[in-house]
Amino acid sequence: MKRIFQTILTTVILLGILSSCEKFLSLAPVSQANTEDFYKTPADLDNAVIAAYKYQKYIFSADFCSQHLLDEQRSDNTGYSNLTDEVDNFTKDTGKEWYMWSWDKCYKAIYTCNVAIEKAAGITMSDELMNQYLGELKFLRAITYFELVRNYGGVPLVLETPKSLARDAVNVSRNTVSEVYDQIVADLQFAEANLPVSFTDGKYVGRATKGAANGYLGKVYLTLGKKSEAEAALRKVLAYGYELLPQYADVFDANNGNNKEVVFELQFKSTTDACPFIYMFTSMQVDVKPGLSYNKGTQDLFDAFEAGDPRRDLTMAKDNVGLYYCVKYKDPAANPVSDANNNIPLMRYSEVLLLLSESIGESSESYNLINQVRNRVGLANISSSTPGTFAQKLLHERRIELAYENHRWHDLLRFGVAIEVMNAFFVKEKNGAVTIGPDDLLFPIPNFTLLNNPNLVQNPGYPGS
Amino acid sequence: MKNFKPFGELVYRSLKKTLMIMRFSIILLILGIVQAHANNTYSQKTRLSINFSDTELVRVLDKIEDESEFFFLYNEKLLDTNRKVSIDAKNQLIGVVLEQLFGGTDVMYTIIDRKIILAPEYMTEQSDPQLRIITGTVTDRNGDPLPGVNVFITGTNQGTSTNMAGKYSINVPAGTRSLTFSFVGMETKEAIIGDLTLIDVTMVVSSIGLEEVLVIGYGTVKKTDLTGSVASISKLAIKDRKVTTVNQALMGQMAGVKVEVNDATPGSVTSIRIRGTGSISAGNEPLYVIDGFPVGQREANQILPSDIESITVLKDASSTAIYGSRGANGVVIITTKSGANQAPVISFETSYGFAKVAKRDYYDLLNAQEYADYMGILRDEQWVRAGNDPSVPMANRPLVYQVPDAVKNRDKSIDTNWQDAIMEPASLQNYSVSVRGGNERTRYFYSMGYSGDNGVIIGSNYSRLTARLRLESDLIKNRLKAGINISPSFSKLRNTVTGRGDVFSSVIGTAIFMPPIIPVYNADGTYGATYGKPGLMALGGNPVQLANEYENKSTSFTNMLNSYLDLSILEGLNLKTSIGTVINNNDTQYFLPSTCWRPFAPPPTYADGSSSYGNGLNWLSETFLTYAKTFDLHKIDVTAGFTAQKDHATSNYLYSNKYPNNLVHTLNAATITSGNSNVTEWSMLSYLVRANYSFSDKYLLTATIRRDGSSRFGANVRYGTFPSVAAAWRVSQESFMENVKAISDLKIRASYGKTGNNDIGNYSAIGLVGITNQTFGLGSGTNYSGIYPSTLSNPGLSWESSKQFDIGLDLGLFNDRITFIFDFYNNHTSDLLLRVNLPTTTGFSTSLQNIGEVQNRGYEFSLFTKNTTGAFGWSTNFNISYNDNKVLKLGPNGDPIYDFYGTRITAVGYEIGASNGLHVIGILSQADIDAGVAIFPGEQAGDVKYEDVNKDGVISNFNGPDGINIGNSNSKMSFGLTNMFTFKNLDLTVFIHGQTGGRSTDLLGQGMWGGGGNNIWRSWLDNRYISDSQPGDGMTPRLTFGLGGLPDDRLVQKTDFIRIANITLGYTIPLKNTSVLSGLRAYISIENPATWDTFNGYNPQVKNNAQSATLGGFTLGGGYPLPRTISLGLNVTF
Repeated sequence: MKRIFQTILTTVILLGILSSCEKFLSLAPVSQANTEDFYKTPADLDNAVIAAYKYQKYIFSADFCSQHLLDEQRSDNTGYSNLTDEVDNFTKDTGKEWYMWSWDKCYKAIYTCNVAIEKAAGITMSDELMNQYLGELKFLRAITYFELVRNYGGVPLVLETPKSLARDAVNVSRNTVSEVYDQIVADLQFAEANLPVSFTDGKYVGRATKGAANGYLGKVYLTLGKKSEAEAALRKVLAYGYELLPQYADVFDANNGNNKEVVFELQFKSTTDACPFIYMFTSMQVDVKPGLSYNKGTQDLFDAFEAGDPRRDLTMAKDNVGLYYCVKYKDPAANPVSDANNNIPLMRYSEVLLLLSESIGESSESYNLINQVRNRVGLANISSSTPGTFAQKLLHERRIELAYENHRWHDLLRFGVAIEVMNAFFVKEKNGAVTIGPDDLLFPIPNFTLLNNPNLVQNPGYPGS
Repeated sequence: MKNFKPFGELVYRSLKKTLMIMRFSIILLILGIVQAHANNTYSQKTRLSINFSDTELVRVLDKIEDESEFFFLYNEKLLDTNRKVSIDAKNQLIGVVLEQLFGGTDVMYTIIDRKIILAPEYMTEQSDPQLRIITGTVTDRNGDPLPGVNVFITGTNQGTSTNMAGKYSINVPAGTRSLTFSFVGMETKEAIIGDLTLIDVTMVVSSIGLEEVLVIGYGTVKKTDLTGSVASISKLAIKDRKVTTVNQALMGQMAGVKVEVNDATPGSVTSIRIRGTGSISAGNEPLYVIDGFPVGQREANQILPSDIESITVLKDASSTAIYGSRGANGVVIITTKSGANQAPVISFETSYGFAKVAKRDYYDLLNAQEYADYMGILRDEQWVRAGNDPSVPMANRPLVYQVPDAVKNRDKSIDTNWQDAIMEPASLQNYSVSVRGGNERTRYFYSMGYSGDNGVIIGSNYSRLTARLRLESDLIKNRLKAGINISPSFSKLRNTVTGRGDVFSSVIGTAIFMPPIIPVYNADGTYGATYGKPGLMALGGNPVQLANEYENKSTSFTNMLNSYLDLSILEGLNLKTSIGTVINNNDTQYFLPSTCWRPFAPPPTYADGSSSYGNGLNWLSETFLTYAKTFDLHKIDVTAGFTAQKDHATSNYLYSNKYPNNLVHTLNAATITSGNSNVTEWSMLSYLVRANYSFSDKYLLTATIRRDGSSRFGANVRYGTFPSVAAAWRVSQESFMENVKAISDLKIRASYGKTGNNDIGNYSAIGLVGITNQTFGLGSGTNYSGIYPSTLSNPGLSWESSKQFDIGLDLGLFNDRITFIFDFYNNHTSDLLLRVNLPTTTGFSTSLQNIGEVQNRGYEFSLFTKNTTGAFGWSTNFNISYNDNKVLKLGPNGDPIYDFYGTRITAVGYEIGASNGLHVIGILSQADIDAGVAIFPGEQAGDVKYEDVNKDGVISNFNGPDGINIGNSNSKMSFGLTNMFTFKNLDLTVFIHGQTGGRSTDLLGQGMWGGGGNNIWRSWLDNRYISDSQPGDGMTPRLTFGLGGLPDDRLVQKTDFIRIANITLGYTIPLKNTSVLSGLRAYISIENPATWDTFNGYNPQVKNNAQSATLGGFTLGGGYPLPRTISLGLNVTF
């Protein structure tokens, strides 16, 4: 009988232990961290900020939907591609995946910032570091919205992570363009106030700084037509110690990341975080390391270089079937060719000089700023007496200096000449088969996105608008 | 019997009979179907106190039965149970009690264990010279002795029963013609006496017996008391089948239980679908319960089929709801043999066989001459079709219109049948030995077995070694027993790559494509190849080389261990607690040398290899209380318990494509290029209760409820409750049925319940974070880890939920010689786990939500008949089932779910995972073209004419608006028919099964590319359109360089078939009583001797992925072929 009681006792104890144990059922993934356990320490927040850079980078660097591909192809700098013909030719096809992928990646990047901003509130750490992280996150969110608002117009302003997946909670509506810009400016102002001028710790080098925030703030103000605010922001950048590298080619050297001329760039490393520029720019035909060449250089761009401008051959070349391709980004050591180490600049000091020149308007100082850029490559000064309007000269210099850096299309928009320039270009290079009008200045809201969220309204001129 | 009891008599008789029946089932229980215990010294240990005066004998007997485990067997006609007796016994042995009752009367009593047989003395008179003694042993077909078998003089109630060793001795009057042997659960057998004095009898389990006891979830139930829908199969039905896994043996055996196969790879995993496919993205596999332990299909496949005592399949919700969130896909309960209180019985079983693929199952392809002709015809017809002058000699045409040199200059002696080349006759071996025995205190069953199958495709083989020990001991007599079950198994598989995934890296795919003008081996001994021969199948290598050199070897070790304590607290009240573990180890080594062709890359390429290792530990703790009690006509039985289970699995994977050479195949020789390591867990905590109530054995009611907590469910829905209720009415027990002699059993059942499917992935509810590399720093930069939410949390994510209604009818006719079972069910599954599109402004494009709905509705019909009994025995077992699967609801917008490049569609209103493609309505004639019928852009006369579904005047691509459901993947109806014949010592079993209503697409055809120079289906050449005047069969287009064309219903085939799946002819060799052997049987078993189908391919049942609901309805070259197998077997019992 003793044994019987022992059995009963054991059973009852076992029953008690197991049934009272809610913990028994709360199994968190072992081999993968989960959102419940994460975002607890300053190091976690740092990891989250790093991921925000990664996702923001995908907007520009992922293959088919890269902004470098979409925006450059909209412009007169590149064209062609068997894949993204619709972008190049301004067709009204809203179903193309590239738009959808681009849109999705922008909002994924914004989500990655939003989640870190929200979770930061629950982490105890020094104000200084906290504000630096928040500054970085808001900077990244701002430049992503800047990309979205210029491509799609007033997009939904999502500043929080979803609290519910109910349809009425997730089916957001579009905000106005000015609401989006207000948010961009607010975020960049926060970043400008809280980011350091530069980082000494190697692990932060390449992350957003005061210079990047002010540079973008200047560009945003210019886009909004607020020249004096732009000038004020951009002038600050001049004081942060950036300089033009003596050799133009060195700026793009695969192993010269975050050099003195770089204000903000996309960071890559071969093997573990390789640069996918081959998708966009490398010819399919070149030697033994062909790329995929979704962007083909245009004759128009080639012809735009002034005689003797060394930047021409540092920017583009002709492959063995006679197509232009970009040589600005190359990594001779990469094997395979997709495993490149290059960083890709989003804002360089030379652009800051040109932006400042733009915000000042025609003056000797503004010509001086442009000439700094020209002199570096050995070109002669220009002045008010040089033929053409100031805007034309500035736009030309921007086109040449910043070719293939994803500025041209937005420059054409900002200077208000996109329709005129592009139609002239189409006459030249497409026999006028394509012409564009005011409704072509925005991308379509991707069809799939509209299907998923009926609250969104299509941009004018596209089917379903 | 003189008293007039018009109503009472009836109740009395039927009740008495039922009680007897119950007791017989108890015997069966005792004999080992459950771990109860037998004890033949019961009568010497049990003491009774009985006090009656002037009371009817029957009441005294009832009292004894109530007070003890004794029960009485007697013939009411021969025993006056109304005789008034007086007795006063205090704490006496049964012998003393019986002596008081029957001393001095003509009634003899015989005590056998708990059984007491009462008979008039004249029946046991031994001195009568007219009587003679006949003795013998009664065994089952395994040679195991059967104790307690009733042995009667035919036509009388005079008789005896067998003792524990199965032996009997009976006095028969002169002139007695025969003896009748009857035993619950066995077919009654008649033996002619003649001048014999020794009659040994082998009894056969009846295919259905009223008193059959079934193992159900957490208990057993008499078949008569069953309220739910439960199918069962006895060990006999699968005993001689030459299949390696249990699942394969179940094919076609039970209504509503469908076995799906990926292919016939030896030892391959098969899937079971019970009453259709309920889930789109979660698992559809039933829960397997082996000796009470809920496990997976993997463990079930490791069981030695001869170790199996019984398999029951729980189908309706009232049966499966006791398994709660794991019950929605049905439950397969496998019970293995256990020990018995008997002298050790040693069984040795062996079989050896050969397997070969029937030529009629081969794909019908071109031979060398036809191939060479085809290459010319193709080019000529293309040349003309392109508008060129047919008179231009071939040599003057562009290269693409010229017959390749390799064809022109071929060696005409070479005509390779590549399908032959990759196949070989396989040998199959099975050996097993088991010992079953025990004594009063301890019972055991031990077995060990080996199975080997070296596969009909070269380079593949499978072997398995299993052992099993079941041990049970009484720690405290009648109070406490303890048991342990251990079953380790080890299997080895060398797999060959068959039609899955990429056909060009598949042995079968390339064997079909390879031109027959290429030799297997060149004269110099190297493998024949197409590369370097322009125009000949540029996309594949030599399949024989691939089969020989592709190494994919797995070893797998599984050990199930379960130990328990069973305590009898009070009479009727039992507590059982058990703890068990299942340990799994898996190891897979893969290597493909650089000499092998790789997709789109002729050799030498690179060598690659991988090593994967996984191990798992699953533990289970269960504690149950059971209580059973009968009050007059009320009978209740309650089971309540709780269980806790946890699974922990680790996996490691290493891969390299950087081998210096092909010499060493393990990864130590290479530079590892990738790898990962992973741990996953799940846990479950459950409470369950079942109550059975019956009144007068006529009205039966069962209610169950289970509450499951699972780590897989979101934090807000951690527990789910799964109730069910069932009722049955045994109409045949009603008094008004008494005179309907033809109907021996009639029961109407109905059940309704809710079950769940928790096979939703271990961490689906939890938002995960991903890790990514991001670079910072000067110069070349340094990597830092970025961490981001990779999936959304959904704390509301839970099980998929099924609500099933079942109504059934059980009918037994002519003393159960004919038995029907009919069921109708409607199973509505909701909360299906689907990836729902989200606006990406949330940061995510999809989230996993419980949203879809699917309905399975069907009928099941089973028929068991004993057509003849006696010397020539013939019984038939037939089942047929029909299931209709329909998707009722998908995501918020109802958008269809597409799979496999859009060729699979799951859409509202259709079946899950149907084929999507264009509908062929004929072949375009020139007249059609001139009339402007809708064509696919670029089509000409002789191309396929498609249906313009949306009537827009053009044919879209298959995944466009003209793509429709062109075939349901699952057969709607399937049946199985088993006929068993016995004549003297011969037995013959013929098992036929088949299915209809499903279709499968052979997407291999898509890869048949005219311009590629691969071989093609013969029908594409023979039946082709040549011109409007030679239109061929009207469904086969002209030859083109792009033969495969679009996914359309030309590639869709009916999977209907009828197959003689098994014929077994056995002979039980008669043995002398003095033989050391107690049983000897030899047999020949033929698997798949004949199949009737219209399917071009090895096996109409093959599914590319039988495990997946949406990827089932197609193949890529048919998969591993189903061979025809002939085996000889011998079963010996000592």
